[in-house]
Amino acid sequence: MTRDAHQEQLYLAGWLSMLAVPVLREGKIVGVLVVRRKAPGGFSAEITAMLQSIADQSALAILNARLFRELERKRGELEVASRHKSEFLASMSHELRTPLNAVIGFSEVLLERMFGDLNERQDEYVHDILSSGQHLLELLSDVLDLSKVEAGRMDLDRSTFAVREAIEYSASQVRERAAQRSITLELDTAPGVGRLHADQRRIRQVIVNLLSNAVKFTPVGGSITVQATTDGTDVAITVSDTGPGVPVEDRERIFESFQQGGRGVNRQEGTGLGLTLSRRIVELHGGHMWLDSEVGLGSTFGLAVPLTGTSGPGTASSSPPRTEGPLAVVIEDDPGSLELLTVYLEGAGMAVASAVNGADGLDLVRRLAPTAVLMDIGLPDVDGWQLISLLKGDPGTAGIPVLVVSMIDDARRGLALGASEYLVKPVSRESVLAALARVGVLAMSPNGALFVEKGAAP
Amino acid sequence: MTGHRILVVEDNERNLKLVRDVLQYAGYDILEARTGEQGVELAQRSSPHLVLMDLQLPGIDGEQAFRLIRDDSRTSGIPVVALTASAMKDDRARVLRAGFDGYLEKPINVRALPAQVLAFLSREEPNR
Repeated sequence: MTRDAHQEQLYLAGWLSMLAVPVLREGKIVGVLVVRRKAPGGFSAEITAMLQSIADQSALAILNARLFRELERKRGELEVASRHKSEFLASMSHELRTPLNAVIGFSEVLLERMFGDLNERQDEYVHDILSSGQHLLELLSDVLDLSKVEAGRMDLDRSTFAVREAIEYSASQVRERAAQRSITLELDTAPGVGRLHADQRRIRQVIVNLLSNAVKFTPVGGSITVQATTDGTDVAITVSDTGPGVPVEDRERIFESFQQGGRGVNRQEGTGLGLTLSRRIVELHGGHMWLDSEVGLGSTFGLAVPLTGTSGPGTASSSPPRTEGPLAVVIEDDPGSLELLTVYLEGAGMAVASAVNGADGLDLVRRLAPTAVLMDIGLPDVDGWQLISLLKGDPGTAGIPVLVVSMIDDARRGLALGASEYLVKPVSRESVLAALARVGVLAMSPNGALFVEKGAAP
Repeated sequence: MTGHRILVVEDNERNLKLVRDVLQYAGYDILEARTGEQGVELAQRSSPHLVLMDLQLPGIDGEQAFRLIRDDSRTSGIPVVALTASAMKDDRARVLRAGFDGYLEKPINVRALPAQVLAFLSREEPNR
């Protein structure tokens, strides 16, 4: 028997018999299983058959591993492509917004008759240009948001807030449109529903979107009900309308981009992105959305988000302080102004607790005894003048300086009622901090910088 | 009427024209800059009463230009207000943390702009 160099080596090492089984894929050898023995003689049929079956299995396993790797590579490529698409959309929508600002601005200049009068027809057309421009702008901001979500770049800015307050705020955004169409708007928050730890602005955006859709699709004289309930794990918010309903075949589709479904007459309104965006936002929170509908009777859109991180039930529409430092209570119903003041104050090293109405504000001041109160005059429940009197009339709170920050330009009245400072909006950071310095809450350093005075903490 | 000099730093020609025309109509004197560098230079040379600063500019961006204006003793006292796109809600907090004296959202509200500018001017004056 002739031996090649390889076999010669094995023979010298004491290997006397060898079985080689090819691993075949589509008739091609992709590998070999080799068994060696130090005893001479052939291999039994059982062993040969067993090795054959192992070889077949191996061929399959190798194939699967290769397919899997290929799939992984494709998925990576797709992810990169999707990220590029989103980045493209984000930069596009910025590029598109810039000329739109001019379209909207110059339309307004014309409508203001800054440089001469318009006739009735011209006025109508310029209004058309303006409202088209504004519609486009909304569309762009939805596109931008959606591309952010899909690129995984929408970061949630979580805080703890009262669900009831988020619903009330959202309802206030559509109340006028609902009233114009004689639609009744009912809000119903179950007693156990307290606070939610989530991105307040985004959750409001979702509720506003559902409410705007409901107003759009509900006939004149219909009704819309917003309900909030909890099962102890999730908070569920539903928006029910008495609109035409959504046929079964459309129920999934309307959550997809640019699908408005066959819901009634106003198809052209809106962006067709609102529900897609809403669903993504809710999913980012670890929640889900759904739709119940009966054609001819109405629709109920629902969202559920986990209660994670909530500080237990509570119904006050006020927020506890978030940082250390001397405490200021801000009483302000406009979210933009509240955010602005909070940034100013926290930037100067203060802690901020806030309330969006007078009653909660008063309660907060009494409970927390802050070093200063910053308050608006136009509040949803009590009027600000009354609130100043209440604060100044209560021996427990009379010593706390009150700074008014309001659009209403009536410093004389505010100061007469006992306010220490009166600022008219818009306010700059400097003016707010300088006012706080004048009432002794902040100290002024020699170079004019404002900082928290040591020992000023309560 | 007001006689205040306002420096507008904005690279988009039409948006610059819009802000300029509206503010001129309201009686302001307008200085124009189309890049951050130009804006910084013009602020030093002409000491305007207020700077309106777009954030996205070619070359150095609005925030960097703001830093240069704030860090230079000749211009450190001039209030600088950012022009931010309203859709970029995250920009607002960023702008305020950066130390801008305030922000105006784009699209600007043509009716409100002159009063907003006046409010920034009169907020600043007592402290300077």
